Amino acid sequence: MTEAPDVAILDAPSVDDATAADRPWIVLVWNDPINLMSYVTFVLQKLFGYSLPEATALMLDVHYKGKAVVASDTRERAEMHVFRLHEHGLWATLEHDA
Amino acid sequence: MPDAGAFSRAGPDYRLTLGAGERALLARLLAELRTLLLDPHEAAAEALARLFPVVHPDDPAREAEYQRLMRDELVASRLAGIAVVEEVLAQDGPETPGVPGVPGIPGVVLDEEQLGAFMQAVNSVRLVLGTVLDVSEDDSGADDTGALAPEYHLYAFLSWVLDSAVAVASPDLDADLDADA
Repeated sequence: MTEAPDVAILDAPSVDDATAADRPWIVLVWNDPINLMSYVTFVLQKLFGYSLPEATALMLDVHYKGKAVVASDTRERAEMHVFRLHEHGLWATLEHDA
Repeated sequence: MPDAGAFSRAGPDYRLTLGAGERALLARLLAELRTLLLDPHEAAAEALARLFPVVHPDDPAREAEYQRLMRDELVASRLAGIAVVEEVLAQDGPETPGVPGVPGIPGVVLDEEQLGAFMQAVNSVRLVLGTVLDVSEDDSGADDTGALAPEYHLYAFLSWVLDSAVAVASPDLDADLDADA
């Protein structure tokens, strides 16, 4: 009779962990006093393919409400969206969707 | 009306209609931006704050990791864009023919990618200048006659150039959207 092999006991991922991993990351663009409204609208169209009315509505949310969610994606892709927005000079941050 | 600004259409491309003096001014500003991007001192970092926003404001560890991975790439991207625009500004293209008594306009032509780099670079200078001037939402009546008057005029000039670029690249965009976002 051989000895039982060592068994590593792993913590099973909790339901909360799994849920957190599944939650998308959201890309926020914030209002700032420097970027032109026309330029913000143009950048949102260029980077995300929004129509002019969609991009304009998002830009107006940024301007009047202080921020707008412009994308929702995996963390890796959301970070790339933020990088592109920063390349264009927009003030963008990431949040893990609640 | 796009043609009234710093750019006009030139077939599939775009024509920059600024004179040699204004182009030289832009080239000087871009050279200063490059110097600032490569400056490791704290004062430079403060002026550049809007070019490198915080990505994870509620998670310092994740933020540090993001900046470690991406900041140098963002600097490199900005430097590459500056180089593209400097090449454009150095063009010595023929002027469009004028009519008797009216001079022609400079013939600097950009393709779509160069125009994009132009907008990003000019906006980067605006962000630095706006940070230094501490531009705020209610600056429409800012004192542009004081000691910082030259900087305010420069900021206004760059805003006009950028808005002209957006107008020519996106002619459907509402012409009324000329305020700050």
